[in-house]
Amino acid sequence: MPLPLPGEVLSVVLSHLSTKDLFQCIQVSALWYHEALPHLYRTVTINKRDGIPPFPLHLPAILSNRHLIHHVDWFIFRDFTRGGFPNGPLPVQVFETDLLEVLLDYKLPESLPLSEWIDKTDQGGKDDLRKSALPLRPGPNRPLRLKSLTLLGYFQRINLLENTLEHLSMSLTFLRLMVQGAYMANLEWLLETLPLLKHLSLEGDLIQFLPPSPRPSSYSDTNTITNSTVESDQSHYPLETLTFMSALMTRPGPTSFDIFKRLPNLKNIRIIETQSWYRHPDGVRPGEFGRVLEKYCPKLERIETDGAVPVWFFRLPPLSPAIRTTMRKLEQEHAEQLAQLRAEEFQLRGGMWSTSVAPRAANVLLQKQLEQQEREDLVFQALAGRIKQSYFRNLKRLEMRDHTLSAQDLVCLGIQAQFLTHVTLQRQLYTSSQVWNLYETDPEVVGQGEDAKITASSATVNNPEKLARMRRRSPIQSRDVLFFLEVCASLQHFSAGPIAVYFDEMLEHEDNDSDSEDHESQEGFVRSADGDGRDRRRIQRWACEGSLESLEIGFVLETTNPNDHRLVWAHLGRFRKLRSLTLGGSNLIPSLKHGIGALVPLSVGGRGVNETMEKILSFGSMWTSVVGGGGAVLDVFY
Amino acid sequence: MTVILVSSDNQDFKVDKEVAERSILIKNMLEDVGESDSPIPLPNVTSAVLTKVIEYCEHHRNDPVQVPEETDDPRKRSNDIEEWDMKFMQVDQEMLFEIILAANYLDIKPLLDVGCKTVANIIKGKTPEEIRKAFNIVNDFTPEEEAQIKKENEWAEDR
Repeated sequence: MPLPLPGEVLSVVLSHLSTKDLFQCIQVSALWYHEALPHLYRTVTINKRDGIPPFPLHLPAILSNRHLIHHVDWFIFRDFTRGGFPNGPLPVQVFETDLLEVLLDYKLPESLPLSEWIDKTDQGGKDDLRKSALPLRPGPNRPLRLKSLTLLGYFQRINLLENTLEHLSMSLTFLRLMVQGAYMANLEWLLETLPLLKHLSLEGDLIQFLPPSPRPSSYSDTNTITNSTVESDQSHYPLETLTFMSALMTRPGPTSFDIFKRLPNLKNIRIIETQSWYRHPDGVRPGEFGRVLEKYCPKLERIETDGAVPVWFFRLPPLSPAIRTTMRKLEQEHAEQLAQLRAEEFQLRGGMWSTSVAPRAANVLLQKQLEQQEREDLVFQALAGRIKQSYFRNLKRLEMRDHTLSAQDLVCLGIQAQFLTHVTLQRQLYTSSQVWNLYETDPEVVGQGEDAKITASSATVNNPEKLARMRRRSPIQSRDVLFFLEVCASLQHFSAGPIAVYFDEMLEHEDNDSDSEDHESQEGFVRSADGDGRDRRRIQRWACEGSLESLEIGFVLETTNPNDHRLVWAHLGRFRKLRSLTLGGSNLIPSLKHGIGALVPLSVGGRGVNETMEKILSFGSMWTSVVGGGGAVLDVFY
Repeated sequence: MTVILVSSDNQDFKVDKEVAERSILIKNMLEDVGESDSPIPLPNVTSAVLTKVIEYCEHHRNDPVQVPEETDDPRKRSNDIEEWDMKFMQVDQEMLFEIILAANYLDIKPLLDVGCKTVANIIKGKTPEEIRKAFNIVNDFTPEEEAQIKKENEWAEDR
């Protein structure tokens, strides 16, 4: 029988297990209990709902093992659905006493209820806000190696929290605060207090950022532990990841962004839209912020945004006037023709078509017309004026969530941001008066020079026509995605999210050669485009053919003509580095995937192919109804 | 340059130095001894196991040296095992344990990790009784102790 694993090896095994599995492991035997317990308590997740108190029951176990804790995820929910809004004071005290006990091994003196304690600390002027009248003295059993802390809750007394944080300064590298109430966050203070911090996330709609104070002398008094880092104004922080609300950009004062000058290691930022954004239409200075980032954070690789962060923050190089004009023209004609076609269609069919079908059909027709003239023109110009260098030198990844990108933006990114390697599209439409089109970025806004005063208002507020144009945004459609893919040459990972591309739009626009790879005739599928019954169609090549590694996209084919499907597969077969393919919302016939076979000789070692094939085959779920040997698909997904 | 390794059952294995140095133990030994042709005895490793270990080291001879990343956050750990490694680890449990012990002794961190991940995958989703059965472990808890452990740590049950 197998020999028993010695404790040290067992411990390595257990380190790969989840909390749930570790819970089973501690019950196996005394040795396993001994080895698994430290792993179990390494990461503690506490979900606490008001009114449902499972937590106090477990408190003893957590308290007696708290020295083992490295990571705490603490979620406090106010469950107002049960019993309505509670009468009397909210039971927040319970949480705050728990917090002190678990994190600091500190029990409030019986004689002094928390409410009074808080009142005491709250007295004193604003300068003393972060000093407690009653110093916390942490006990010996607190988790000395607490590395990461996530707190979600409604913190009534933020200074208590901050007092707690002071005592975690020597171990904490990850801090995530999701604050439901109002919170004046002091970025400078947090970074100064927690000198080891590598990941910081400040989330909450009501977060405001305190303006930087000229010299935070009072902090060094309370903060005896971190004296070594306090001394120099110019010390650099090791912070690598920062998540913050866009309210930071509305922070008053000329030195608001100075803190970023001390974050040379910053690699990732994520910006979440704040509601209060709207309350500061004039104070928003993303351009200035972008410039500070560009200058002082050279390692920045990834920018992620949730919601309506103005795209001109990204400081893309300005477009040439010619391209801008073309884009405007395209956009305008698109709108006009669409309206016209819709009207015609409606008259023609006399309402026979359902309202959902008619606009779509009109769209397809329209796109065909527009593509041939305008788009090629645009692509030509785009390639001619191709920008090779990113403004953010190392920026590779740009993720915009929550339907922030308009069709106009995507086309613009295709032209301007060819350095991008990761692009993820999310939902389809974003129209907000707060967001502008990317290509309308004013040259002044991206202008160089430290002193350029840039605000949204200065450039446009006096020009309503311009403003309207900047804000005319259309949803991303198939043709926009295709344009982007046909132009953007360095893409490695692309996800079109819910947007599918139409086969008809993927085809090359002109039939140049007759020696197409696909000579098979297609009886019964005579197309108007090539009346001789021979298939000379080709799929327009994508610029990212040679670099794309993962692709998430949907292909929608209007017919079940096997040749159409083969063409798409053959097209995918050209992606030499493709290792992962996810086909959401597609109606590609899987049995015709032979085109993928082209990957075999091309990819190195053939490993990628297997993985690609596995992904394709495991995809399964969307291929709901493949019928017959011909591979006809019944369901068509839109 | 080759190195001769001698298993516990006195079999000689001739391997490239580069391959042998995947083992930190051997690497350090070679550094201490300097240039030498004398065989290296490995009294804790049988020839069957050593064959497997060398197979692993041969396949991974060109892997970059692992950066000891200090992400002891289990949530960020990857439990993925490479395809080749997965096939390599398809052995009976005794051999699996032997390989892990050898990797531990020879100080081949990636092999130890792959082995431990394989064992962890066996444990996943099992009840305590199933784990005991899988690894032939005697339950040395009294029923009371077991109940208490379960109760105390209940918070972890549905995580």
